[in-house]
Amino acid sequence: MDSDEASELERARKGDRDAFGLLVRRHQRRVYSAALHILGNHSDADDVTQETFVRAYKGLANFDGRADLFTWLYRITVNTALNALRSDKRGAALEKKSGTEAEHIGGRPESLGQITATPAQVAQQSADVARVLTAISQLSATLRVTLVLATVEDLPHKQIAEILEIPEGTVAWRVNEARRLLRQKLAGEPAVEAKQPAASGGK
Amino acid sequence: MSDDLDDMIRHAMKTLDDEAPSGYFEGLPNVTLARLEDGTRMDSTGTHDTAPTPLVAPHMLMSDTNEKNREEDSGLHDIRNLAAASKSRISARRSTQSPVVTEDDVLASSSAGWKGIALPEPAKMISLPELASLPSAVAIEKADKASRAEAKAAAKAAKRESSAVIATATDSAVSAPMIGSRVAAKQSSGKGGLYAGVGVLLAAAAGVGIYMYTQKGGTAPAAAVQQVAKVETTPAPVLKEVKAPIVAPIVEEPKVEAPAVVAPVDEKVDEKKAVAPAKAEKVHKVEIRDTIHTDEVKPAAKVEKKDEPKEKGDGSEPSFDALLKEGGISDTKQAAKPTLEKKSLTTGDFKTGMAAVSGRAQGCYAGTQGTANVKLTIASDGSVSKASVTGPFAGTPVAACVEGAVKAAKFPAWDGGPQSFSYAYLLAE
Repeated sequence: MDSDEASELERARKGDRDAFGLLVRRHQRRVYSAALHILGNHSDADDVTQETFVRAYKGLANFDGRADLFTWLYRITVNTALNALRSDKRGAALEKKSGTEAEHIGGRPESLGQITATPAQVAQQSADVARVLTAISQLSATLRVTLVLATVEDLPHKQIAEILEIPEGTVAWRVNEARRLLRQKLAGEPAVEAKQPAASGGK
Repeated sequence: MSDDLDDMIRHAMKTLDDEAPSGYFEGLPNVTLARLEDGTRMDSTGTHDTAPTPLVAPHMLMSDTNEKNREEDSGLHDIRNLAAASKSRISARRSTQSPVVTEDDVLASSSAGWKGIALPEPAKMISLPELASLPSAVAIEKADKASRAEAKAAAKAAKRESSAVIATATDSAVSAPMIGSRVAAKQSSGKGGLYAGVGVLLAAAAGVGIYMYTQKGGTAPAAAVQQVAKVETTPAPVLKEVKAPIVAPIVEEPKVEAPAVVAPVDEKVDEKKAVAPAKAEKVHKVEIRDTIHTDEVKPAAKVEKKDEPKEKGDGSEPSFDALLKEGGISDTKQAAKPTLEKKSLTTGDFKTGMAAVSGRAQGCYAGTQGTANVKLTIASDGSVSKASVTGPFAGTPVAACVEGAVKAAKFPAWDGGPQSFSYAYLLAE
């Protein structure tokens, strides 16, 4: 945490919303990207990003500063996104919903399950990207989040374990399981999610 | 292979990143601060409780360099807002349609439900008499004692009266109504019939004794017959029995009455015949008169019995049992008498029963782990009358397996209606 960020944080804690605005501007891209990678569409990612910053502002008093501010924001983002996934069961319904939603919003490719888009839009993406996005959207919420954090965000397992509040071993298992399932899906094989280790738990 | 896969994932995500609306990040801080200002809240699902912050906001704050792009997209933003608003409404509706229900809530509601079913209608309609209108226990006891004392006094008086009639026949005309009133007083008591019976026996014994005495002495005055005849018209059965032997010495009347009633009386007087065979004819006469009295007494006794409930009903203080009967309580209690001490299934009983089949239920795991939520209804005999699995496993073979397992569960029987519960099994290897 650099001195500018520390100063902004201190001022934001005292109720300076301009200072908090600066903090938002500083971290918004990474927060939004994480939300987008987990949720797969801009609309939900936008909701989660805004909610993350609102929650952060309300919880600034609880942030003791021992951890990195972004790690703290990241944890809020992941939890908010997981809640959104679980409540909406977007993972299961994404394919059905996304095509219709894409049509409503003008056919813009915004969702992971974009395979039902128009041929022109599909042409803009490579076939591999569409297949990968679809396969990821079919993973369970926990596997998807863990895979995104490990592969896309490139976070070390230890940090992922802190964010998700699970053992590191569980992180490794989830990453491997997600990769195994993705390979099966991409190969066109029926993929069945394996049982999670008993010691895992967490989010 | 792993690296290839990771590369593919990163590439796909990069494609997603590139599709972020242009100018979005310029407006995001302002939108967030506006939300803080407005106090707009979002629920735990990440969707808005109230009208969502328009997604158009960041785009309206775009830089001028994207003017052309904004014009192209401006028509789409309204549609996008509509879609976002619809989604928010659906999410909000969904979150309000599935409130969190705890186990205690389920038990409480099911308990209330079965209570509503189990209460018999007659029990609801019982209207007990006002407590103030009922006599107190002390008053009832006093009244009971008073009536007993009165009955005893009446019995004694009856004895005295009977002996007085025998001793002084001239006074009987005066004493007869008194006797009648005493008898009536006796009838007013609860045990009047019993005392009357005892009195009859005593009087009969005394009469026999007097008869024996008069037969020997033969000094009964003729006027006594008329007095006794008058007494016979009174409704007091005891005294009639007492007077019967007194009339025995009269010789004229048996000639008229004898043929009709002698035969049946003979059997009854066998013992007397055995005692005094030489005086059989006279005994016959006596018994004829006696039989006449008996015939007269019998209907009177019947009337007396019939009058008992009337007198009770006309009494100033109705008994508590009668009031309860009027209220239908005694019958209702007998009908709704519980056969089991257990009135409902406790949480402990339920958990014990479910734990007994947990192994079988968890054996339904078929490769897909998850939670099978079971809603079940347990009949009062302790058997599972209905079980259904909800949630992700609903309608699958796994659900059927779990339902079969749960239906095998047994619980202690209780006295009441069926109860419904929810239970969750974690299906895993």
